[in-house]
Amino acid sequence: MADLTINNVNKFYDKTQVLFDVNLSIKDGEFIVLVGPSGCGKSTLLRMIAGLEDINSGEISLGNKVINQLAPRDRDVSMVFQNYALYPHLSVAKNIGFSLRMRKVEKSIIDKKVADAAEMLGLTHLLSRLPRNLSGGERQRVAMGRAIVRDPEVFLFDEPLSNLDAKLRVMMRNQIKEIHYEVKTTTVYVTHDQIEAMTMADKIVVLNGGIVEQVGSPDELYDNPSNTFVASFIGSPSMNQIHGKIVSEKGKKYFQSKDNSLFLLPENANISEGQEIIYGFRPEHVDINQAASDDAINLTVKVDQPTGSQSLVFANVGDQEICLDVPKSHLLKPGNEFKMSPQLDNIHIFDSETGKRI
Amino acid sequence: MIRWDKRIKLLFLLPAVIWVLALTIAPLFFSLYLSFTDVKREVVITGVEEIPILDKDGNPKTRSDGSIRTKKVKQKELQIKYDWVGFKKYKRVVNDQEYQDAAKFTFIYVIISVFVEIVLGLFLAFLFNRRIYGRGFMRSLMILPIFATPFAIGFMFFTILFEVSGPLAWMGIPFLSNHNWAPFSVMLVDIWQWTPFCFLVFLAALQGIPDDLIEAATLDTKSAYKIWTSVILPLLQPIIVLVILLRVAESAKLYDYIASLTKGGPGTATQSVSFLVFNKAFKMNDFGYASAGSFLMLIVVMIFVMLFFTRLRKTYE
Repeated sequence: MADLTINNVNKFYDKTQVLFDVNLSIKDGEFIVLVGPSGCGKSTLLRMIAGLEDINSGEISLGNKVINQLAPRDRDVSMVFQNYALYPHLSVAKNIGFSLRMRKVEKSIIDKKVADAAEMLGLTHLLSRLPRNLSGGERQRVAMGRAIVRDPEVFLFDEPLSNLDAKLRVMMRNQIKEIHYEVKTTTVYVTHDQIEAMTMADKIVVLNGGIVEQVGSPDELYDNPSNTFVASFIGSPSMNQIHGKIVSEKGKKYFQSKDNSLFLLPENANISEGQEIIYGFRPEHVDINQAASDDAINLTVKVDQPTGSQSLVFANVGDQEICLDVPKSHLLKPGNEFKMSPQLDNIHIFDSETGKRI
Repeated sequence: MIRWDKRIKLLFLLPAVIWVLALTIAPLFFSLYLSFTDVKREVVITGVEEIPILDKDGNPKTRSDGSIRTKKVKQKELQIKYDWVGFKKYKRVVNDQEYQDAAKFTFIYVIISVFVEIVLGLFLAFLFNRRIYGRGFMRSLMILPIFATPFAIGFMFFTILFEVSGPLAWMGIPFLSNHNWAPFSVMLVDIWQWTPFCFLVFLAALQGIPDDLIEAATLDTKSAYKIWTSVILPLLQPIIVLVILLRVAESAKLYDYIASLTKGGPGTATQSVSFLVFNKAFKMNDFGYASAGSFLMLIVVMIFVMLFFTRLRKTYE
C-alpha cells in the first residue's frame, strides 16, 4: 500500500506541450477522478502513470519508489481500457487470469483468484464464454476483473464507461464504487463526464489544456470553484456567468450587467466600485417571484424544459442567456414574466480578466 | 421502382454461367472422362477416290483414247478414339516411379517453400510494423516481385544461378546441375517471389490489431516474445491459416519456374506433378495418364484445403 505522487510532470508530443508542471499527491486508497474536456491531457497523464507514455520531465513515484524508468509490468498498476482491450481469442476466465499466467503464478491460485473475481463481478456463469459473445456491460466487467485479480497498488481506469448506454453507466458506476469500498485500492479514474466525476470521486482533479485547474472534493469544487472554467465544467446545467461591473447605489454595492440590470452582492465581498467582474450563480440557487428579494430583476421566459419535479427555465439578461432550475409549481411558460434573485450565500465572483475567484 | 422479372435476371446471369460452364466445368468433367479412357489417335482409311492426273499446265492428262487419266488415292482421316479403360490409368499413375518422384518433389517443395515464406513474411511484417524512416518506399519496393511473371522470373534466376559465368558462379555451388541443389534453387525462386505477398498480408493484419490489446499485455509482461506468442500470433492465426491455404493451393501447381529454370532436371530431380502431367499430355499424347495424374493431385489438394477451411471456419465462428 502506498501513496502515488506526481511531481512537476511535463509531457511533449514532438514540440507540442500537452502537460504543464502537473503536481498531484494521491493518498493510499483514494479514488481520484481526472476530469476535463477532450484533449486536456487526462488520458496522457493516466498512461504516463501506467508507463505507456514517456515522462519528459518530472517524477512519478509510488510510495518511496520513483517509477519513471520502470517497465509498465514492474509498476504494480493495472488498467481498464476504454475499449476494454479483452483478448478476443481467450475465454473470460483466461482473460481474467492472463496477467497472473504471465507472472507464472501457480495454476491452482490463478483458478481461485479468477473464481473470486468472477463472483465479485457476477461473471461466474460466463467464465467459459469468449468476449465476442458478451454484452457491453459484461465486457466491461471482465475488463475490471482482469484488473482486480492482480491485486495491484493502483487501479487506472481510462474512460471505462463511455461505451455503455446511460442506464448501464449508472449501474456500473455503483459497481465500481462498491468494488472500491471492498478492495480499497488507490484508483485513478479518467472521464470527461463531470457527473461521473462528482458521483464517484473522493477527490476530483480538473484538467484543462494540460494544466491542473483545481483539485478538491466534489463538494469543494461545486461550492468553491477556483475559476470560471471549473465553475462551468462542474455542475449540470452549468453555472450562469454574467459579465459586468460593480456599481454603488443608495450606499450599497451592486453588480451591474451589460444591460444595466442590478444584482445584489454579498456584503463581505472583497471588491471595489468600477471593478469588472464575472457574476456567477448556479441555476438551482435562485429565488423566484414571492420568494425573491426586493432587488429582484424581471425576466421573461424564453424556453422551458421540464425535468420532472423541476423545470429548467431559460431567459435572457441583456444578450446573455441564463438557465434557472426552479420547481415546476411556479408554472413558468414561454412568454411569462417573473421575478428572480440569486441566493446571496451562493454567489460566485470571478475576476473578468483572469477568471480567478475573488 | 423497377420490378425485375425473374427470368430477366436469369438472362443477365446467363453469360457468366455459360462462361463458367464452358471454360471450367466442362473441361473439368471432360478430363475426368479422359482419365478413364485410353486416347488413341488413329489414321483410318475411309475410302478410295479417283482423281485426274494433271500435267505441268494444270490440265488433266488424257490417254490416247481421249479418256482422262486418273489415279486412285486412299482417303485418310485422323480419328481420336476414346477407349474406356476404367481405373487402369490410375493404377498406372500410382505405380509409376516417375509420378511418385514428382509427387514427392512437389510435396517437399510446397512444405518447405510455404513454411519459409510464412516465417519470413511474419518476421518482415514484425520489422515493418513500426515507424521507420522510408517505410512506405521500402514496402513498395518489397512487393515488386509479386507483379512479375513467374516464367520470366525463372529465366532471371537461370541467369543468376548459371554455374559457368553467372554472378554466383564464384561460390562453386552446382545450383542447377546437382540433383540435391536444384530443388532448393526452385524453392528459392518461389520464396523470392511470394514472401512479399505473405509479408504484405501479415503487415495489414498486424496493423489491424488494436493498440490497446498490446498495451494491456505490456502491463503484464516485459517479454516481447511472450506478447507475440500469447497475444499477437493467436490473433493472426486466422490470417496465417488463410495465407497457408492460398500459398499451398498456388504452389502445388508449380509449373512456370520449372519450365524456364530447370526443365525438370537434372534428370527428373525437379519434375513437379504439373510439369510431368503437361509433358505426358502434350509431348507423349497420353491424355489418360495426364488426366488421371491431375485428378489424383486435385483430390490431395482438395482434402488439404477442406481440412483448413473447417479450421478457418471454426476460428471465425
